[in-house]
Amino acid sequence: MSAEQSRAFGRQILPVAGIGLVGVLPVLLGGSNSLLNIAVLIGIYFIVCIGLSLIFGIGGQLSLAQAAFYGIGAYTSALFTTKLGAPVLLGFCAAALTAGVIGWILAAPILRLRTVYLAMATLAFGEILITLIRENRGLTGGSTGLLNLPAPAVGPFAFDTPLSYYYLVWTVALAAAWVARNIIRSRIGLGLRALSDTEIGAASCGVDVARFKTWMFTLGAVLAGIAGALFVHYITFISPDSFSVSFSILMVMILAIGGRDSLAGALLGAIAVTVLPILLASYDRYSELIFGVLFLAAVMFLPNGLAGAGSSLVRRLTVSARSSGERASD
Amino acid sequence: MTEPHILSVEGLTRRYGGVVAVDGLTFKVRRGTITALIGPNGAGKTTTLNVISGITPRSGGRVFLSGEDATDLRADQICRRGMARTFQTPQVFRSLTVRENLVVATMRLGTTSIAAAAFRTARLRKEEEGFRRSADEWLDWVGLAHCADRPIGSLSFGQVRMAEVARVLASKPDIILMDEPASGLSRAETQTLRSVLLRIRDAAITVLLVEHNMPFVMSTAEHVVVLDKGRFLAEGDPAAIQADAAVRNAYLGRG
Repeated sequence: MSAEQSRAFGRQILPVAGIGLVGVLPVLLGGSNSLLNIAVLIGIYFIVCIGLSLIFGIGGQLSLAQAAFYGIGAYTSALFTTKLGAPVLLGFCAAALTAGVIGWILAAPILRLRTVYLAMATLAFGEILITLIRENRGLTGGSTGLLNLPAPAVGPFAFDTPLSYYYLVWTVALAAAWVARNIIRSRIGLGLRALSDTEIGAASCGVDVARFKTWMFTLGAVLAGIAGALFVHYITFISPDSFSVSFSILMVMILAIGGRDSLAGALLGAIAVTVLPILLASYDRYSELIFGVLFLAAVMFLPNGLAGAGSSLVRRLTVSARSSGERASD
Repeated sequence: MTEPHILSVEGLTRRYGGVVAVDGLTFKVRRGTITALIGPNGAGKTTTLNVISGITPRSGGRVFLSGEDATDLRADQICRRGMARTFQTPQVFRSLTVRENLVVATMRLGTTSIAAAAFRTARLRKEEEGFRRSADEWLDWVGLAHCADRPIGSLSFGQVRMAEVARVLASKPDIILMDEPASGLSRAETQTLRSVLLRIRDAAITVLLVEHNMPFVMSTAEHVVVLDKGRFLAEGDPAAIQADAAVRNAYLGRG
């Protein structure tokens, strides 16, 4: 199998396998609610990181604003449903729209900055937002937040169990992954990779650099907004602590561990940062230390993350299988 | 075609602080020719290309493409008007394969609708298949068909230069600007480049090149424009330029 054929094979098999696995996973987990909780959280992180992998992984623009858009989506939906009594699904739509519009407005001035300056500006945006949320006590409940957020429902059916919420979150995650995968494969995806290599070269090839960056930033904001809304209606309360800068940094860590230039990387990273702390919990005081060391090791020894290491392993295995097959036929 | 000059530059000026890199430069490029822009080091050749192609903002003057004002357009807008360029240090996309590098350059053709990309419409798929095929044709044209699937970083320097030439062709330009295309090439590679340039001209694409290698310029270009200290010094066919006393003085540094 040539590299191109194996990639085409992977493109066809992976989505089918992914959908199948998402479908049967609750059965494999034995319907355990605590395991489903973890799977829901992984799905939510995955949605945020799909957006981040478009902006940062493919487009090379390090944004630390994902927590802010996650918070904007969460508060929009929480306020819509509690203050206005709107149905939660409408709250989700409002969350996506609000995050998207703010992202689009913010994109024009902020995306002129690059590298660490962009990171700083997006970080500052997050800090400003948190302050606004904390100080507007009448609207947002300040540091205490809002309680008793309703569960989303379609007609009489409410997504109020871990199992039903799991399917809701992962339907959104798979849809987002499908859209992102299409974009990454398209000429726009190539243009994004091109501008992250050299903006002057890309612009000279006709890539409208500002427009491409703006769209990816906006799309990333929409996805983070939806994920934030999904999160707060799952845990049924909202407080500003969930949307601090450390959340943005966690998202960047996910891509660093999983691999920043593929969706598989975003997924593997989301699994790693969610599952590892739980596995390490038995080490008690040392759990964070061990997590930190593992993170360092991943960044130092797996430059393309878990996904990169996985695909080079597969490549090596297929090459050695092919050469041993050729030897056998000699 | 009503306008015989595809590119005309009028009074172009670029200052860096107190330094005037390009000073009131005026020249025209005839459609379908290979024109060379030469001059001693620091004459402002690369700055001129950068201003024309929308990479460096001008301080004054105007640029016209096929008679239409193209002053102050961004690099990507210039590209969409049918002008493509190469760089002295090739600006290739190292994370992409050779073919993908060429597909990026087709950006001015067809749709770049984000919605079409997000839902991968049948029309988009068909269009992108066409761009990949035309990329392969251009690679074949410059003799790099066998490298299409390789990461561009794995190519030799000469091959990267040639891939960059193929990339500008993939955008189906009317005019190509080239900054020092022969620098860093072996003698054999320079010969190949020369024959590729002549074929580009025969395909009715205009070429404007900045080049140090005088034998290459004199054997390839039909028209030569000479700059000195940011100003227009002389123009003419290669033989006339070689015989021009002012040009010799500028190059040899005599007053």
